[in-house]
Amino acid sequence: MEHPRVPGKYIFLINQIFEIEQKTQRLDAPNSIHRNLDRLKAFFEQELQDEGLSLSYHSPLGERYDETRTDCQASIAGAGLDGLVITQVVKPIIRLRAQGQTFIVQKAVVVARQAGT
Amino acid sequence: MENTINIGIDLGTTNSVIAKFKASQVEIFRSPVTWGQTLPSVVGFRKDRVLVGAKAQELLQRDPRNVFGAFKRKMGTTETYESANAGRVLTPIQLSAEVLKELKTFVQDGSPLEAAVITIPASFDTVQSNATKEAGHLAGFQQVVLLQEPIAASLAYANGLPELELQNGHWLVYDLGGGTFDAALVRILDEEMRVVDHIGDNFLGGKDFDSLILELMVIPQLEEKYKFHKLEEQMKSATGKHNATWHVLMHKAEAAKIELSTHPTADIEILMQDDDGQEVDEVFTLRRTDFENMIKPHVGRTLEMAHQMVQRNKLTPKEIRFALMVGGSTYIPYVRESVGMSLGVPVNIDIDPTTAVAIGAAYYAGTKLRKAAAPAATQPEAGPRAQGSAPTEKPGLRMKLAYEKATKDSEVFFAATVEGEIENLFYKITRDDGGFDSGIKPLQARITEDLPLVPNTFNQFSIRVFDWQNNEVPTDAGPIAITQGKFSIVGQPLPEDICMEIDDLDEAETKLHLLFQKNSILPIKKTENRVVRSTIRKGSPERFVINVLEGSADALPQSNKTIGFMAIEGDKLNQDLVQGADVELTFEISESRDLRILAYIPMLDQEFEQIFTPTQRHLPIALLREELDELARELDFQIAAATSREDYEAAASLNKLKLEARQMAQQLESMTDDDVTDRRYQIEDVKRRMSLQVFRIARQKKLDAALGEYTRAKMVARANIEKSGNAFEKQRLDQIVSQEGQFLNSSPAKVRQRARELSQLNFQVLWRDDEYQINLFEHLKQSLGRYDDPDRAQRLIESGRQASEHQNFPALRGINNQLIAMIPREQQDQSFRRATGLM
Repeated sequence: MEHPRVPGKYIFLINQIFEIEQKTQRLDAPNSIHRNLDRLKAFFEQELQDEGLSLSYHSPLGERYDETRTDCQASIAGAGLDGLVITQVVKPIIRLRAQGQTFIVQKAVVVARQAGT
Repeated sequence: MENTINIGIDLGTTNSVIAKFKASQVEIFRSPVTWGQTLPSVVGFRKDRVLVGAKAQELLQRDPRNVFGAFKRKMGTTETYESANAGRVLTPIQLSAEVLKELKTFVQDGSPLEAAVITIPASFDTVQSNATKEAGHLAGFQQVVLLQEPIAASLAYANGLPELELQNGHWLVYDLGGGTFDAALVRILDEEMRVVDHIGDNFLGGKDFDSLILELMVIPQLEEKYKFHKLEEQMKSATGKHNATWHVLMHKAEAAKIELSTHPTADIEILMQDDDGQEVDEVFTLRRTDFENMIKPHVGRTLEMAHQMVQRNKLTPKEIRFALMVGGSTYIPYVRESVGMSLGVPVNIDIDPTTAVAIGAAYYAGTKLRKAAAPAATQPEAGPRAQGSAPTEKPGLRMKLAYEKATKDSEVFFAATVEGEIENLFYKITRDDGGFDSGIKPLQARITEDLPLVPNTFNQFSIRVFDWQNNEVPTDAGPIAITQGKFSIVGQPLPEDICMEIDDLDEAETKLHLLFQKNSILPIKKTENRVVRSTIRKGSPERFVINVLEGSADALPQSNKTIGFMAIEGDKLNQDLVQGADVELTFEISESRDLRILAYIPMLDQEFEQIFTPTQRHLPIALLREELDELARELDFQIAAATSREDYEAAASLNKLKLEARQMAQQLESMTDDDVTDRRYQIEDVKRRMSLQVFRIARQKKLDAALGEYTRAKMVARANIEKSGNAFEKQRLDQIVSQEGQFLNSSPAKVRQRARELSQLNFQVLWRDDEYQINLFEHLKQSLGRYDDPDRAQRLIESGRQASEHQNFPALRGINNQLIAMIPREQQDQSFRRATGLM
């Protein structure tokens, strides 16, 4: 099956949404920015269906990492290689649902390191 | 041609690519897992598996005892690599063979893989060349033809050029990749393309440029502004405090480098903590000129080498026709400019620098005849993946797969038993979305694997078996299909579409807007943003309603069942809600079919919530009354229409329906909103059936009118676009016409929308026409009384006259534009027969 193409501008916008979401987590003052972010996320998931696109992203922060995970492009920090956990996410995994299937259109860019180090 | 080799491989130091020649075209194969065209030339050995490519590359710096890269530089030497995990010593040939074998798995279209053209650097001597050939044989290619990389790149360029184009003179192939630099002088001599001379540096490339950005700009600035002790060391050391930040910043530096190819500046954002725990939240702007100064010495070195080569061949710039740019780093404008300026030759950027070598190899492979089958390669004494004999035709394997087909867990334990001859066979399991790759593992009579799942979706995996040369061995194993989350036992599909009712401004009535499609699996949630159609004053009885209905999304709101209804009146608001304000609606249906509606009004920061359970169907009597009134009005309208066209039969049957509607309305009159009988549901059921019948007739009429509008718009647009439309306009017209099958039988609104699009397209074409501008101006002149600001309009008309007389069409266009903008927009007819207050 042909891998569907997603316009780069959409990937760019989703990465920006992800970064904004990361930054809002550092805000101390109460805010409702998450609502706007949820709306943007819903837009990419639901409103591009006329173009055959439904895009969503996922941050694998805190998830286990090993070499079988081809949904992430990892840099391994620290000395150990076993029991790796994702400690930083530079870019999220972006998935496309189209033609009844799911495709990874962007691998996450992450930093992984041995848990507890 | 089927008797030609056709397969071309760029076996690169850093990355490798495989391509195929077919019917005068070259196709580059993509990884079935990552979908990428390039495979990092890195091989790693973990406890029970071999990794080739990106995953091995991640471990390269961290586990040099088991992960090997850049072994191409050692081809033909006695150097070996000892892997503790593999428990043996590997040669560069064996490692190269692993890369070639992995590339073979990219080919899934059944193309024969007995022969290939493999590229080698111009600097390779006979021993190194033979070593490459041997790697090819070891990977299962019975016939290997070698081709020098600069020749391959030149072929990628030359293909399609007139034959004589390259006949006279030399050209330079300048190849600056991620980690290596090569330059070669090429010419055609006696009708043969030859590398005349070459030069290179195996440790110079784009990755070095990324580090420079950090070393020369980011780290010094951070050290200046914040408290850091030996920051560079702490970043670069695996055990350093800021090692993770180094990896993050390397990605950002690479992104900035790429951005600078098209923009004058690029930002690098830094979020970290300094040694005192102070937050660092900085954006450093890197200017292209600064970046160029950083890489200048490195680029300078490549140019010195190229100069040296040109001089020792006693050539002048005039004798070099062009410099052909190859390798990802030649995307950098400064590199291109410097090559052109310094060498004084035109720079040729006509080929894709990352895949050109493989493309050229495939073109060459398309001209080389395949030989009859040669004897199979001898297996190495202790190959990384094999002990045993050369491949033999294995009979198909029988596999019994065992796994949970639906689960709520994030991974599934997979087991398979294998029957048949399994010695020296290997397997690989991949997830079809590209998110999991087990790597190559030895096949045993019983295999197991933990398969990670993407949440809330259907996950499909494939298991493939290979011999020691990565030739695929047939099995009877089908795909591994597992559903995570949603399809659990308690989950159930929706029996009907679920829609909400919204106002349709074009039709001055309501329409259905799909929320959840039939057969969607519960639980399910969706957030929708709508806009308030008119102002709702605080304390007033004005309202907007959220009406959620069950039934076909293509039906009319009147004919579907209400499953949730929420009205938000002015007396619930803490201030006026102005026209155009947003309302954020969240709809959630649980596994037990409870519907939760949450309405949030950002402008007022107010939230309203209601839950509707299927056992308590929510059907307010007031809503039913409104719907019956509406039905009666529609019936009156249609009876009058039928009578006026003398269709008395239709009028009689409509009158009968009207009588029924009136009886129902009377029954409702006597009912209270807390009536506990089923009567309201019975009435609603009859009402729905009647509505379907009545409103369908009305819709058909609207559809007929919209189709007429569309046909006229298409005719006019086609005539004008054919006469003076541009390529884009022609393409858009064809696109709309080709989609007719999808929208002509849908809703009147959709047909009308397309008609409007065509009218706009037509207007766009006409707008460029000078004669049209004159006629338009004449028309606008007549509309003086209609403008918002008659004095200004008068002045514009005066200027327009002069522009028209002097045939100053740009000015006339501007004046027409301003006059059009001054015509007040016609007010929409707001007399909705049925309305929700939401758009």
